[in-house]
Amino acid sequence: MNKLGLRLWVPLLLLSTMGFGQDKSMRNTVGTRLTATSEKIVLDWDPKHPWSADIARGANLMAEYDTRSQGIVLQSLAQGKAPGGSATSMQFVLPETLTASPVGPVCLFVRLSNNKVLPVRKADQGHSDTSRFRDLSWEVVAASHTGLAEHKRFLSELQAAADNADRLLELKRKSLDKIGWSQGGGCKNIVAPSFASETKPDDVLPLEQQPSAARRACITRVLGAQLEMQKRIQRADDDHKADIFLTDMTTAVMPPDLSNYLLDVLTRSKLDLSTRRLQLAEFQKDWDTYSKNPEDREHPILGNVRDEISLQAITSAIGRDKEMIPIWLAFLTHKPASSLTEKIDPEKIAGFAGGELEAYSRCVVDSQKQLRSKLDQWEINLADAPRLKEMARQELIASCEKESASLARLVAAQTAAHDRLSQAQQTQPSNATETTLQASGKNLNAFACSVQR
Amino acid sequence: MRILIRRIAFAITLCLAFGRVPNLYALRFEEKTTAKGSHILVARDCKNFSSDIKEFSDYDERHSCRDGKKREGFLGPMEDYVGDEAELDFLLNLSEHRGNLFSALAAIARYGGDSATVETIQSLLRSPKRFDEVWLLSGGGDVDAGVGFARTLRRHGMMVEVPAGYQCISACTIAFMGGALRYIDGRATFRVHSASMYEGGLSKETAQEFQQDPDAALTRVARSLQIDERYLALRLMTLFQNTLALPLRSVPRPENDADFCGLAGGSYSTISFSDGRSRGYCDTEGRTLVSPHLAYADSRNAERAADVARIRREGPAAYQDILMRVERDCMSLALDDLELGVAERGARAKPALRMLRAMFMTSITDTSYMTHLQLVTMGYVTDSIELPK
Repeated sequence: MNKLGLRLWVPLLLLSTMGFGQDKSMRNTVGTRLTATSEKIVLDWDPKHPWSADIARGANLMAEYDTRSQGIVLQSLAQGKAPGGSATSMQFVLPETLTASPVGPVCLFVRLSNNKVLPVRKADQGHSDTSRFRDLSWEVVAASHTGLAEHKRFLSELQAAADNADRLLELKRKSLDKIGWSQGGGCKNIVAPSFASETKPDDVLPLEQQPSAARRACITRVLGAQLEMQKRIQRADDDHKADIFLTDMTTAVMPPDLSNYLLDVLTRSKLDLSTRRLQLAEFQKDWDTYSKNPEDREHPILGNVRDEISLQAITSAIGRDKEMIPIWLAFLTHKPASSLTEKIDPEKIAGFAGGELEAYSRCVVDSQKQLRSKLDQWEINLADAPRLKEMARQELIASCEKESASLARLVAAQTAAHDRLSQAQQTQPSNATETTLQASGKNLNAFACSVQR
Repeated sequence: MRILIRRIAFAITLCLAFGRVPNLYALRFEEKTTAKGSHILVARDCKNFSSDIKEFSDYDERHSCRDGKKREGFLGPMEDYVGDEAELDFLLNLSEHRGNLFSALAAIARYGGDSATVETIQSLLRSPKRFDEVWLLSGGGDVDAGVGFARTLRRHGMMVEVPAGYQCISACTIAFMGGALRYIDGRATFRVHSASMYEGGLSKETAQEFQQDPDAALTRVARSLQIDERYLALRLMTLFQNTLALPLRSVPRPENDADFCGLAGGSYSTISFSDGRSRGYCDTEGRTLVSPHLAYADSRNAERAADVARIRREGPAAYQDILMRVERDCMSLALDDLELGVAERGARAKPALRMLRAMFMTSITDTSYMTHLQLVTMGYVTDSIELPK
């Protein structure tokens, strides 16, 4: 015999041998009486019951039953407590529903606060279980109510699922409407965006126009530097005019008459200026051709109106050397180059003039490269545009088809959810009957119960 | 003889005066919140191109700029810094909650002297927030800093913008390419040009060399430049290859400067600073690259002979001009060589080379305006496609 068996049998033996003198009606029910009323079970016990004090401290009315979804369930239905003093009676208020719909009998038993299970009958040949009992009237009603509640919950869940399916479908339809993919015509009719620039930019020129455009751009910068210097000199007071002239003239390329003047000064030297003379001739020709076009000033083909052709740092520094001042003065005052008597290092003059002319030539070469680059990019854009458009179209079609499939799945899911809800609404739970407990006053001790495991 | 001595002295004086890159102001880092609630980190020049924007020019009038090469920390003068990219990295880490009060204090001590950046650090400590975008406003500066900046931006996956009224020029355009997503407003300015080691002048040693034997000097410098430009081409090409792709879709190619230097024909070294940081550089002095062939260094090259004649005629003004032209010619040679093997260089090598050519077809003394068409077709910006309504 295991320990549990001992815990039950020993007190039973004691109880049966001690007897209960005062209430003979409880003799066969080991000093207890369980009475069912409409909503309660009343437990009375013999004051001489050996567990009387334990019972008086309080007890739980427990239910044990099998269910479809949760297996065998143990549920506390109600708590009971004696009112105190020498009371030997307590009540358990029965709940309207169980945790889940029972499959089979709902067995009740009383568990004391010290976890002992209260025997309510003597063991006999028919039943070895002495503690479990059944209140059939309540059980039928509770099972019915439980079934109804479960069904209601189930319907509520199905409704929520159907609502969710509606919402998801609505959202999907709205997002497809926004893109314009749900307006009929199918995915194959999708129009992809164009990758080609709609208008040809002004700085994209055919190859044959680029050399002259480059020269025009560079002359515009030289003219701009000159005009800017003149404006600054005009605005300045007399004390600062010379400084502005010296700074601006030695920072950016100035019109060719300056380089021409410097080369004229160098005529006295023995330096070979042939290359520079050729460069100057090109510069002069460009200046004569393009410096009179005001439109270029307002809308330069490259860069903006504030651009200049900057001189290299060392060229600028040479230009600002004190030794060069007589040349600048002579140039400003339009004295012939040949009239200069000061001894100025020809290397400096040649260095500055060379720096100017190289800067201008470099501007022309670089500007042509820039224009060529812009033309190349334009042609690449045009060449790539149809291919990119088709790639984009294929991507969009694939995306559209994916979205259409997703939409179809959502429509199917919505239909299924509503079908399930509709079917459930038309069915009733098998044990669902609107019943109410009848008052009984029945003694329950004799109604043994067991749950099949 | 006296004239010759005076010329040498003058030349040296000129070159001494311009022997370093002119002191650049270090960038300022400020935070902004847009009307739509986006948190922006603005990386901008101090003065320079920031002067076009009133709120910045007003601020810069009241708060002095930091010397870009030497920094005044709270603990005293600091050595040549590693670059603005270190500050950017720190601020982005702090905004991503990868920093704390202690590291912030250490950073303030290190970067101290720039009120705007210190204010940004303090603000991030008070209320940490993740930056949604980085805005750029700069006339450029150091190429290495630009590359470092780009790599930092890419590592943090930042969106980068040049908004309306801002300008991004020169090295800024390299930094810009680091953005994982990149936008340039139609009313912003974006201009590219070559890089050059000689924009500010040349060293006294080089000037003396040119004075004494221009032919030998040109040959030596050209050989060195051939490797320098090849190194720069490899670095920039790989950077552009990596940044032309959306970061989600491709595995980046390794950007190992030591490897690039080796491939270019140089020898990679590191300079260490007293504060524990270091910077790498590719030493090309005295080295010769056999392939591709550098015709300019041939014994009787006509172009070099003409340059020598020019130097003898025009003196120091000619050195700088010629060197800057040889630099670009060497870059062109490097790009032509890389173009030959473009098929083996991996995805996006061709568009990366196209971007490099666009940069180097314009001298550093000029700039090339990039139109919207060029910016989109070359891949500078990551424009979105509007679906048809």
